[in-house]
Amino acid sequence: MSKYALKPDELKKEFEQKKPRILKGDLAGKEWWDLPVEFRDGNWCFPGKPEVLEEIGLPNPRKWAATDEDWKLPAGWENTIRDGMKSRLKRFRSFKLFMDTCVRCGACADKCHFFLGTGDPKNMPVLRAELIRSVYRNDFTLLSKLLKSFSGSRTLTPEVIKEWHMYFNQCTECRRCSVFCPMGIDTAEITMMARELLNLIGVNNNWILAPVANCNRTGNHLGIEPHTFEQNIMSLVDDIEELTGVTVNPTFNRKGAEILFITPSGDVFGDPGVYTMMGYLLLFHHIGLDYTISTYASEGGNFGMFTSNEMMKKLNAKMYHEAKRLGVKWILGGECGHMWRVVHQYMETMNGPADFLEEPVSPITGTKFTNAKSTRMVHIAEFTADLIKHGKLRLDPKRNDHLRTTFHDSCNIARGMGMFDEPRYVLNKVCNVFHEMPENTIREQTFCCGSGSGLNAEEFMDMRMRGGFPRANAVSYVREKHKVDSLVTICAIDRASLPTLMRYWNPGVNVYGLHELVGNALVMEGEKKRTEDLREDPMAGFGEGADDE
Amino acid sequence: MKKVLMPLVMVALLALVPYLGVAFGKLDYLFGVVIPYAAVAILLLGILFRMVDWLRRPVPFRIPTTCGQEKSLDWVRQDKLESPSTPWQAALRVLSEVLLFRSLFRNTKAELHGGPKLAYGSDKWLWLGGLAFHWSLLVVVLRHSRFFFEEPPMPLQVLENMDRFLDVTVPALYLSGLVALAAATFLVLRRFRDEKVRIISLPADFFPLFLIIGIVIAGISMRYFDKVNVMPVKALTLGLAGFSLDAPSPIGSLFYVHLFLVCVLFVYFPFSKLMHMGGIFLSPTRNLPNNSREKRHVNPWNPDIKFRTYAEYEDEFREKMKKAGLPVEKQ
Amino acid sequence: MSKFLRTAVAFFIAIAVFAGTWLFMQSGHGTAAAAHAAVPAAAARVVPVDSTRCIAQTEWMRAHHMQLLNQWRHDSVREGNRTHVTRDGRMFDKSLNTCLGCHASNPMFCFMCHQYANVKPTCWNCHISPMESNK
Repeated sequence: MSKYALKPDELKKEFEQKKPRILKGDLAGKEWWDLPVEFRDGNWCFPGKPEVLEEIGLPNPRKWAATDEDWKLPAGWENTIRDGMKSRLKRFRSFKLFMDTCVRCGACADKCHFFLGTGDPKNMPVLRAELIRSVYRNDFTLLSKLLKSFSGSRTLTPEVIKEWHMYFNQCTECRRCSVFCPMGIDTAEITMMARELLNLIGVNNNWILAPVANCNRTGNHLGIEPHTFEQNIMSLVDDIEELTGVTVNPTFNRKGAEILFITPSGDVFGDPGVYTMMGYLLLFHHIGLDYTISTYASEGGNFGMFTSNEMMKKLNAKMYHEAKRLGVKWILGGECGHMWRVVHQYMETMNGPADFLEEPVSPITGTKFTNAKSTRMVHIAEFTADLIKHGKLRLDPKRNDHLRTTFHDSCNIARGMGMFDEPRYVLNKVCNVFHEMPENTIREQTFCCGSGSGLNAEEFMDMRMRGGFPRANAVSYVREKHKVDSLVTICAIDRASLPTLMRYWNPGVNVYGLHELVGNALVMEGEKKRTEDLREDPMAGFGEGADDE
Repeated sequence: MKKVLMPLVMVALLALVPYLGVAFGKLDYLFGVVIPYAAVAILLLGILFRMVDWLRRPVPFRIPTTCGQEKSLDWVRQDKLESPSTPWQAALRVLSEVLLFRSLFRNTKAELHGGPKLAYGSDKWLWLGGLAFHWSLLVVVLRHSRFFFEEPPMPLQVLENMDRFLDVTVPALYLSGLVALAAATFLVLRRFRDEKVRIISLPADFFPLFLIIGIVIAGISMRYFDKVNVMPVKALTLGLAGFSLDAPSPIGSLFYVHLFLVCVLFVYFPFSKLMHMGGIFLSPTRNLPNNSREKRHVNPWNPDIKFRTYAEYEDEFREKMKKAGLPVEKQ
Repeated sequence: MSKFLRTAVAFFIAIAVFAGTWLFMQSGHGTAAAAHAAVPAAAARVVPVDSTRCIAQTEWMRAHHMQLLNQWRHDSVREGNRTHVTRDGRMFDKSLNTCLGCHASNPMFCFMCHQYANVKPTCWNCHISPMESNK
């Protein structure tokens, strides 16, 4: 276990003591602005390294830590924040509206996974927004200037900045609160604005900025250079050959391919993401897809989204740029959460129009993806669901009989895109045992893994395990009720963070990508007898002596 | 608690102003004519200003919160209300929020149980209370039309008749007033009772509730208890509706308390959270169709950003790429 | 989703049923009242009547007459107490006819104000209004 988190038993004890309350501590007679902000091990991420900031041209590079008394803010930082707010209020109707229209009804209060896991009142979405609203009211609205204590406004101080840094980095931009808000206020939008503002004065997070710098230079978060990127996928090709006897042939940076395939680099390098990558490779080989993978646009994810709009656009621009250079017809995207929020809701607005591409048509089934006819990028789950519906895949779901699955909706796919049924359709076709988690924890009400939006840092472990508690708790429900042992996701950050969360709360539950299960179930032409899944775990009923059909 | 007492005292003092002004200062004209005109002007211009101010700001990105299946493959059933793909569907979605508080209907209550286990129960009290509060206030406002028309339009008369169907008092009991009072009281009490809501509440949250309760109590008193002769009231209100500047005949001071508090509410409205009435229609997470991959959304201020091009990338890695057998543009 | 729709539909059906029933009953009520109107009003009881002055101040009567009439109805019909004694000791029969005895000289007496203020008293559901009796 991480030194940055409590032991599970200690955290359980904390929960036992306060039940049935979610709020922690006695708050009678206290007001939120009087509650102290305490940075301690496990609740803050290391700040951006000076060299990283210099590489991507962000202001105020210096060595500092959240626990320092003096954060070495740049001269005139108050004006930078104020002007930054002003310009964003002008450019984003959303930001202005969300500052103005909250009635503080409290419907969002117990919807946030960080609030449910910490009981910290400032993790109620309404108070998270009030942290910035209180300053907004002080600086930008007439009535509140006159009646300060009446409207709960306060002046901008270094303490406020510390508070912002703490709580806007205890929000994973998952949008669950916005589902319940009668005004449709989206805390993700407010957090994005707050993080932009904080970045203006050099208050930041290395776990976000280092991937941003890497992605800018090498094309992917991990900073993998082209030759290594290619080698790594080729080693997966070797693994596939060893396991199945089939040789798949991915190509790289190939001009004239029909489809450009882009997936998060976590699928190329991380465990268990690589097994999902193997699933993609098997699938594309199975249907004979004419596709290529780019080493330049080798990242689906976009940590620019957690930094600023400009950074998001800068990193995202590579996708269209590369698609144009290679002359592909359309782009196919792998399993990822925030990548798809960017692709679905931002990409074409930022870097379009995509008139150099064609309207996506599945070369195998002839299906026109009319819902993507302008952005011209298709989600792999849509693509695969269509293949299965048309009977183009030879699948043997029994090959996943060693797994009892449940499905975790990724926040961004769920609430920023609205894709719920395609992955479920695919999952039900490739495995025989699938149980949904409780109603209030799936689909549009799904809980975040607790580590999204660039908070997957080791040093943030305490918060991650708390923030992931509601998700883990729903998994333990189906585990007890249906003996579920496999958590299937379509998000690379989930694949990176949920294994840790499961080890902490539900030891014995493993995390899978959807296309890993597709890869397991695919009956390939010319394959050898399969007894192990892509992880080299034995399949049920396929071992030595078992009847082959 | 200061944040409760402050707005309570404010409303009490505000109620006292017209009482003293009319009973002792003979300021009927000020409270009956000048202030109402000014308040209505501020209300209308204020709302107009706020709406225009919001509408002038661009919506750079299409960011609906999708609460249902998006439009996708033909055989996948789209949730047209929760994940609309056309402006009409989005309009229906906004209407379901405005008229029925659709999102609030989803409300749940989380509790920690032993284990630890998190349990979520349906919690529709806020939805019910909020709906009762807003709808009853709307009915109250609409049935006041009998003061501003010689003969109110037919639908408003029907509405008024229905409001007083429970013929148990003389004059007939208006249900809407009773419901508004009960719902407003509920909304105040929940701000005390639930410790989560208590800590997020500001004086600015209690003030409009107390103000509305004050208005309703004054109105109910005038109708059922401390009776006010309705004839000069009607003469005044008809005059106001016709932009007359005539001085009102004497009316009980309770009426002026009622009227003045309404004027305070009007003036307060555009500069406060009460503007959520207009804001809900503009909320970009609700009023935009979820069709950003189907139809390009344009950002009017889309900035030019220099990104690292493929050429720059290849320049840095060309040799390594060649060695790995990756195709390159320049040799 | 479907739960919300079901509740919303149920809600509206409930309101529609309520509104329909109520309107139906209202229309029935109207005809009943018309039938009653044909029955002559009961003869006035023998109580000394001083018709030179009203039972209370005009100002007070303007604001409170409906409450007084309501009280009278209750007293006379439920309790059998039919005599109203004013502060200065004058006695009146607790009956709408007492009022109409003087005020019906102007058939528009009630209606002028009620119409102006859009007030719809229920008196004429049973009693014959001065407008009708003077026809």
